[in-house]
Amino acid sequence: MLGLIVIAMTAGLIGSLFGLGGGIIIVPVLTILYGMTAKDAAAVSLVAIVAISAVSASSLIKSRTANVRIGLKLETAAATGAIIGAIIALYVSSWVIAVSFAIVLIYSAIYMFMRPERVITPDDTSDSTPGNASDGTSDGNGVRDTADREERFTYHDTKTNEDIQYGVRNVRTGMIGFLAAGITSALSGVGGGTIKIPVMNVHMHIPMKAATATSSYVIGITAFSGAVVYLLGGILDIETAAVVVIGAFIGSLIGLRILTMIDASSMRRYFSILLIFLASVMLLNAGGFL
Amino acid sequence: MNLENSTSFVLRYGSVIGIIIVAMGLMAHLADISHSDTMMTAGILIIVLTPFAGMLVSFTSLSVNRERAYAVIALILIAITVIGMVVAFLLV
Repeated sequence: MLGLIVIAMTAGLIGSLFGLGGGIIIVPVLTILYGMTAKDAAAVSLVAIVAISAVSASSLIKSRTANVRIGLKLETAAATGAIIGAIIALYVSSWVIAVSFAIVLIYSAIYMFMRPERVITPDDTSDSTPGNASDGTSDGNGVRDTADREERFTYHDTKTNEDIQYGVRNVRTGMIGFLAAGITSALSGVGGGTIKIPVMNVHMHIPMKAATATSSYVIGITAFSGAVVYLLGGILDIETAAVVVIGAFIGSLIGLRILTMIDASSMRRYFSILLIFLASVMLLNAGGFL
Repeated sequence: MNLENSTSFVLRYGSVIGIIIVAMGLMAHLADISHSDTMMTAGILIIVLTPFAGMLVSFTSLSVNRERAYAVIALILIAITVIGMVVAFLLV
């Protein structure tokens, strides 16, 4: 039981630090080390994700780091994607999805590692995607659709102790990214945070800390409906779930503490390294090595 | 009724109350006390329903503050989530 608590704590720590669910840690451990079926492990993992999300988001929303408005908007697309994915899952082979998901993760990781973060400041009027009018946000004269660019927010960075102002762009195309995240997470069983964070950070120019915090908030919404279904359907192993949830809770609190000490640029680098690791695990899993 | 404060409040207390009940249930289970499973299930149910309660409070807060566009978005999300639950229930 202590071993399981430690594993769950690690999942909670990484989950709250990077806005991921932690399912990528919990599911393999429960299936490989504890001999649980994939469905039973997924049920426990979903409950842990909800706990990690609720604990992390409560603190991150209060400090305005997590953006509730943008989160709600983007999550409508992800939740729709999850429903579509659940239906597609009946017809598509899971390894195909896992491999394509891994490729997206590797691309995101390399992009985030190589390119510096670009945050839209209040006086920044440039187009975020020069020469690209295909997303429907440009009128062809360099003036972007106001409905898609006037979202401005502020959060307080506890590490640097300053207020960070940022503008959110490409919301509509970002929603397409979230739709894809919802579909792939429902198909592959891995939390959509790994896709949602690069979409928010790279495509929508939401600062890394705000992107991971917002992801922390929305993954709970994604996971909760699945968790309710497993719980009410009697599939959930209550004792294992209880142990994992307690570990995840403690890990989340530690992760939140570390989050106040880490700066945004190193966080982006660590996240890209984590993406490479997760992609490797997914590829090994798809190839039947795990 | 501030959106961030009210949503944060629900998420914090929902998860903490749920965790306390789960921990008490687990201790009761280890001590071989009856009804420990019911206690753990109740705690887990509270945790699992917390994000949904958070969405309901966000919707209420946005409505009260007359942020109509975001209130509609929150309502749509609640509807999609409920539909998602029904679909998942049918597929499990």
